[in-house]
Amino acid sequence: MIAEFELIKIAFVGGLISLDATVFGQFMISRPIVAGPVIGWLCGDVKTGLLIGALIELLWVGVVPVGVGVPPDSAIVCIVATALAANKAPAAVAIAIIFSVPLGILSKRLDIAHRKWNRIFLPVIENGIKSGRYYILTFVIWLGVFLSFIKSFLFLLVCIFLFNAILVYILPFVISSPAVVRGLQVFMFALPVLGLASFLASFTK
Amino acid sequence: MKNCNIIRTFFRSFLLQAVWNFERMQNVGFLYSIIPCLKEIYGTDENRLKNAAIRHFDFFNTHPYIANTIIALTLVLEDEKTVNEETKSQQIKSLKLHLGGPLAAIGDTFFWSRLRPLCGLLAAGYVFLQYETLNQVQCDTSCHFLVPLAFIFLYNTPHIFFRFFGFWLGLKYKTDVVKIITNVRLQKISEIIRIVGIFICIFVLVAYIITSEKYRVAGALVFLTSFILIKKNVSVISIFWGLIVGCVGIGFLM
Repeated sequence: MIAEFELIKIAFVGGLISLDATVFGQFMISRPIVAGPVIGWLCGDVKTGLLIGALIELLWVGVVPVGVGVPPDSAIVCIVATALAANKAPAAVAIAIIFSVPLGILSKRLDIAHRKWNRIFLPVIENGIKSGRYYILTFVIWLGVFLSFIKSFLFLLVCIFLFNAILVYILPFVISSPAVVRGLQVFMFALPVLGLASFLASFTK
Repeated sequence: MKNCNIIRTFFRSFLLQAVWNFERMQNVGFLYSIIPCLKEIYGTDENRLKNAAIRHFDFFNTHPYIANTIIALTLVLEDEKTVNEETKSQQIKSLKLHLGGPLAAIGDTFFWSRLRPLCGLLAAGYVFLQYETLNQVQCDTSCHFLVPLAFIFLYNTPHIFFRFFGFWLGLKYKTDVVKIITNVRLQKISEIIRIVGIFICIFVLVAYIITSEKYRVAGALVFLTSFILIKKNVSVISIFWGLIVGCVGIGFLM
């Protein structure tokens, strides 16, 4: 079980990391290959973080945002998967990835809603400029950063908490079946191959 | 313009997308970046400052790394003292509108669809091929951090270079910067990255499949099937779900 304090710590750092995706900088700290080891380090299991980061990085390699399109969030998927799989049996890695991949789509929906909602700031700033209060601009920018952080923070908190409860419950059943464990081993082997295929497909366009 | 305001603008441009919205996209971040310089250019003339700020609050969208070039050009045009207000406003408006799209397309293809996947492939491929070594006890935690650090360094060198020089060249060479950017032949570099990427990908794939003695045939089959399916526009996520079902099924048969 992930302790409460550790859960908050992971969600906090995860929230900061996912700011990098659109809100601040785009230094690609939010890519799985970086976010995975960092979250793994927080959980005391860098190895699992690195493995999950590499797996999800390759899965997401063909997803390219073009123009105004909002891509599914790879950072959230990787952070949740690493938090779930850290310090557990090897089979947990596959299950954690299976659990967290749908979250990419869910957090994309959330992101779109957030970006639509952002327009309520426009008249506020416009009025501020008209009355000469330019500090409103700075205020709104940092409020935007803060709200994005809170969005990811709460999303991660809820997802990791719920999924971890489910995972702890079903993991013993999964491990007790050798056939499923074998299947998941094959799956873990095949996942990088799928990622490489997706890379090659996007580079031979 | 004072150097300190230019530096402030450069650092503020990292927050360009903080309040990205579907209505006017990067407008808030754009105005936030240039407001220190606008204040300096218009000084105490409240009315003109207000007009300029409202003008820059209009729709704006481009690739975040390339935006710095457009920000620099906008500032140079705003700083022109000889041009009258009306033409200046028109010039800036058309500059932001006509430059944003094409430069964004350059940035999207170069950074998003070539450089980032290549860096990701190098880092992830290294992890897969060296996983046994990384798994050993002698390799402590610090060794695992070399992969993400290398990834960040590899990717961010061109990124920061582009941000910084785009900004600087825009301030120095004004509208000639567009010629300079097109002269860099990013398309050619993208093409080189593409070919290098294909070779590295095939190398990683072959090495990965050969080292796993048990699943050589299965690996090749998975690769061919998923490659063909992706080429037929089946999404990676759908193949992912198919793969789970297939693998667990195989687990029961083994």
